[in-house]
Amino acid sequence: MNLRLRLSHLGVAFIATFLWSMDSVDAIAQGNKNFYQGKTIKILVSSNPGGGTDAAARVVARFLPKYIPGNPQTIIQNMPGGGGTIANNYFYANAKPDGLWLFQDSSSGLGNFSRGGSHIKYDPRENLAVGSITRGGSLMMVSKAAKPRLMDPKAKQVVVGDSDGIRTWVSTLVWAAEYLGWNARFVYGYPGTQELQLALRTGEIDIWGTSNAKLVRDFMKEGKHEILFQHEEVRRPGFKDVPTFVEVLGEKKPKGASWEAYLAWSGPNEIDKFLVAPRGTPDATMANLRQAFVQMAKDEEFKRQATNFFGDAWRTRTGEKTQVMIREVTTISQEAQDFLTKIRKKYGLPTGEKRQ
Amino acid sequence: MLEAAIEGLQSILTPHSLAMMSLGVFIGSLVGFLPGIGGPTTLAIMLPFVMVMKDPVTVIALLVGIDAVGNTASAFPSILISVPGGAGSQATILDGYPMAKRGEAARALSASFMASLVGGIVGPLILLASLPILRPLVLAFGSPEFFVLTLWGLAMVGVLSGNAPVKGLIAGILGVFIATVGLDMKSGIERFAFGEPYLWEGISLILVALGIFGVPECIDLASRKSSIAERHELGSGFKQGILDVFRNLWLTVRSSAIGIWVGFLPGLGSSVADWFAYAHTIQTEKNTENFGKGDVRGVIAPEASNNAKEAGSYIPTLAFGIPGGTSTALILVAFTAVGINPGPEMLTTQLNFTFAIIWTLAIANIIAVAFCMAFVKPIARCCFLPFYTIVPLILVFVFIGAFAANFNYYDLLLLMVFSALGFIMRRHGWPRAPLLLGVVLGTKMELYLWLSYTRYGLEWLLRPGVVILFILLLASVLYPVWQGRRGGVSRVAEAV
Repeated sequence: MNLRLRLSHLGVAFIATFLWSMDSVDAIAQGNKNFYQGKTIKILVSSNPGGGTDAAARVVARFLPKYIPGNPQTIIQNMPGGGGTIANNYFYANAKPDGLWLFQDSSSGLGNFSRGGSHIKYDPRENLAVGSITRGGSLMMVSKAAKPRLMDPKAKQVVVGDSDGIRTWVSTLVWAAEYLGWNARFVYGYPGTQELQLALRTGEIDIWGTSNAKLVRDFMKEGKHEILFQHEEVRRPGFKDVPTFVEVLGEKKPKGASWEAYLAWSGPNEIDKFLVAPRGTPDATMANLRQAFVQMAKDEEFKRQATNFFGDAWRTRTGEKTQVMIREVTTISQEAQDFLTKIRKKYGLPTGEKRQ
Repeated sequence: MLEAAIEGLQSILTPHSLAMMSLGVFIGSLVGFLPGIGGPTTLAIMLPFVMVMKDPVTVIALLVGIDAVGNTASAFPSILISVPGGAGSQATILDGYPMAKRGEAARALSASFMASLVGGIVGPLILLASLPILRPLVLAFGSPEFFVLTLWGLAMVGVLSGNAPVKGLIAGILGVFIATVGLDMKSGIERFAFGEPYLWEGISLILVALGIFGVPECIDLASRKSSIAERHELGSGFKQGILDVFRNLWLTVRSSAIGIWVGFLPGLGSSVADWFAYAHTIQTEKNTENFGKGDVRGVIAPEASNNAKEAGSYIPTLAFGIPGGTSTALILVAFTAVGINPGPEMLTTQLNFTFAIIWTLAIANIIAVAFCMAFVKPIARCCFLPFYTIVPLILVFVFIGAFAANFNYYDLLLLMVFSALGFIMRRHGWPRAPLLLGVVLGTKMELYLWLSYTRYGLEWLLRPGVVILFILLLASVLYPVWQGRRGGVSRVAEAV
């Protein structure tokens, strides 16, 4: 009797526990579903308002919430400087893994990390990728007046302009100077894309690279510049007559540590503009965000606006794929890292070790 | 071109566009009235809403409407409570607030709005006239020329230091030092941030301005136990202020031209125009002994320039699709989203949109000034409120202004630090304006010196533009000295 009673008690307890746990699971599920309702996601952007990274953030900020359960609000905070270092350091140190912090970064943030240095206080491999937007490889524009000087070592050096000396496309020109003997030097410090466009037009700089096809076409219409090559594995649609950098290098393409160093610097170009959540963001939240990114990429209005901003060669990548790529392009051997530091020093670019 | 001008005007004068423009003017004026929020923040908030709009003219009417008038209503807090309503109204405090203390708030406000109207109309007119030469105009300036311009701006420390030139110089240097705090924009290397992430972004100009001007005035009012205005009557100041602008019409037009000039140089920033115009006024006008004590010309010049500057910032935007400042950068994002292609097409196939922008700049200013004028008399009466009412009110404005930009509690802490600094400076006769000017120009000066040197070596000193600007700089510094020897007073009579 006692045993039967105990067994029945146990049965009741088991059923109660089962029902309670089912209720809890349902509550958790319900919680996830309603988590974002009435909440605001803060998207930190690693550039000034108006550039490509900012545009990517603003398009995503408009369309992503449509596909997140609970349809949260979004706000954008721009934190430019140091090729994304300032924002990366800030996000890594301060972002809470509560699903309400996202970070819109660009390939420069990954390049900075590979370059290393005491001021790099973040690890992009630990962030959790939501997805990425790639606009196609950079197109290198050169002033027609300066181009003949590129192959003449006795002439005045051709000036390559950049904001921080670490953009992925800068790597191509460093390797061109090293292995093709191009007569180029590097000036960095321009606050952003706008100032660089102006500097190219005024002749303050002679070479500048951008992925923005519309911008490049505007320059071509003005007739004072031409495209040297494109920083892409295969030729971009619409620029089929422009050689890729590897084609330009031809037989001079180096091997070993040099090429590994080149890939570590230029590789993040493939990822371009990517959105991440801080490390520790719950799996269920990440699943929601990644799923929303995939759905957003299929939205017709999103496609239209993305084409307005990035031209017709843009494409998206899932969070999972982006995560793998971030790890790939930021893994570098010590030998290649040393080569990278040496070659950057040689061409007067910041190495991250000390103030230049 | 005439056809495009008419088409642009017609598109803006539809009831829907006018309604959106009026909404923009209302939002822009409200934001200008509230210190610290600023036009770029408002535009950033508006972006998600306008990106879903289908009609480009609606977007132009709303956003350009907001952008055009932000500096008009910002004169209210600058003049009445010594708190800058926005980055473009800092210099207005120097003479506007002393006028309010003298019981001339209505005169200062009406002069300010009338000057804003002139600046707001002269600006688009100059923009219109310069359409054919927009591109060469923008391309005439490189990094070395920008550096000399920032140096020229810093030379104004001399005229803002009153009878304490050494103190003014030290305050200016302190301002430049404050501007270096944070991570170096070129390399991301930390400077004077002591490992504190809050300081990585640098010290906000708005916090410095609110702290060194707003709070010390509150302490002064509380210690005097009086209202802001010494005389409790508005008198005929309202009409007199309007007449002041017409009496100084040439100064107003010159200041508007300075605003346009600063606006079209992408890289100088929005907070410089009013200082340039103010310094130009002191350097070129006669009888300058009352500047810093409440000279209406010290209100007219910055207010005309800061409204004209908005039109100027559209010059690089229209010529190349390059924004002249943060506000125009955000407007460009909205334009791109709704299918307007900023860049060369704005002067060819999309000329009607260009004219819609120019018309909006002019019409929005007229609406904003009418709107602000209607409130001059009732709002000016706040100068008569007893100190126990007005001091808490100002403090609320100052603290909300400091907190609203980032919602960060550290901002409030830093505000208190600068408030203490401002109080000590005020009490011991140290000029505060040079410190602010150092913060405004410090970062830009460093950047353009770096670019000039790394690009050109020392050759940049021989560029024709640099030589011309250096000559103008020297002339502007030496002219007041020469004028002073002839008997005039060449600088602000009191440290401000």
